[in-house]
Amino acid sequence: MLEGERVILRPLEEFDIPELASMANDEANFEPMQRHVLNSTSELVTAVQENNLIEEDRFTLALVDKESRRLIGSVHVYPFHTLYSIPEIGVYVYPTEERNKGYGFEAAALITGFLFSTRPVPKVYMLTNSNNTFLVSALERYGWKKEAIMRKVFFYAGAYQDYAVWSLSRSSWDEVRCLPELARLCSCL
Amino acid sequence: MMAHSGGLEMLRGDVVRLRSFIPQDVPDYVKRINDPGRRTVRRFNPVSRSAVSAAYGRDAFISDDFGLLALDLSDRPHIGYGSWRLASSAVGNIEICVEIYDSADDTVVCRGDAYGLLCRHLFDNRPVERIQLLLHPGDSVGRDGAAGVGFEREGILTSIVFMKGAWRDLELWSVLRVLREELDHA
Repeated sequence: MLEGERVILRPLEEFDIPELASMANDEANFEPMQRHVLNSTSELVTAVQENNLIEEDRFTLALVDKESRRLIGSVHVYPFHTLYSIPEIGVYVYPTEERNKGYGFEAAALITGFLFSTRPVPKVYMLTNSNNTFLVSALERYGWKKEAIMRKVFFYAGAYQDYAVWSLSRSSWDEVRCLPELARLCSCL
Repeated sequence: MMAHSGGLEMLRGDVVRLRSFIPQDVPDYVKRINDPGRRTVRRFNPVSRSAVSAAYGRDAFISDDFGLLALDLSDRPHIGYGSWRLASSAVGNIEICVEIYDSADDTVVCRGDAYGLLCRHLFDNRPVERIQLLLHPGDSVGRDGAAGVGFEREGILTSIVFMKGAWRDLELWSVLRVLREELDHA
């Protein structure tokens, strides 16, 4: 379990699945810049029963509001490329009213620190919609570098969308993790 | 473009052809892949002959998310290979690779011809809009061959592969269906 100031990241349990599937599949939670992938409740339950969605090179964690203990999202880690071991992270805060409050930032910082602490990787990746200026400004502020634009790589909102490939190197992480807001968050690592 | 000869799937280009592996290719393929002096395309990952033979026995190296074809010249078989694979489970885009074993055979024309054959085959048979390719920054043959068939450089993935004792960069290139169709018309 990873505990920040306002969020907790923990393995998914079977009792999380109905709520997670409900949030992830709720049309009200989709925005033009968010990919919409329907999740099957039964497949999620089977996967959680099998291994809690935790494997060596990929896992999914529940993103929980620390104060209310309410499940509000999920954090995903998987290989950026099938041949290479560099991890990519994905953070989803589903209820629209819980977005832009810093939950996603905390979750991303915790999982990034966790990956650099536990794996001999030189960097981590994150993909963003090129138009997501809110996220892009945060990434730039905390040492992430844009490496490429993958053209027409995802289909949603009726069209193929470009996605930017962002990476954070271990050396950049070592610098930014000393910033007060990150040092506080990552004290558990 | 696509021909079937004695059960052998074949893609014919101007100077090269890509075809299904036959059993005689397998030992040579394993030897080439395990050659320490190999001009590595993307990474060096030794393989066992038994594992490769077993994989060949399963599906002849062609499945839904992966394909490996032998690359021939008109007068010489198996001078390299062409392959495709799903680049990531999260991103449903396809990546191709062409490796020509000997530098004397590895020309812009051969590489470009092979890239073009793979792209046309994949665009004709799969609902993908984008095909990607990773190249070493110093691979001028690959760069020129890819650019000649419509690929464009999307950026550089730094420190993505561990090879020869260090993390190395790779260039990310891609070709879009719409651009490829324009090129075919031209």
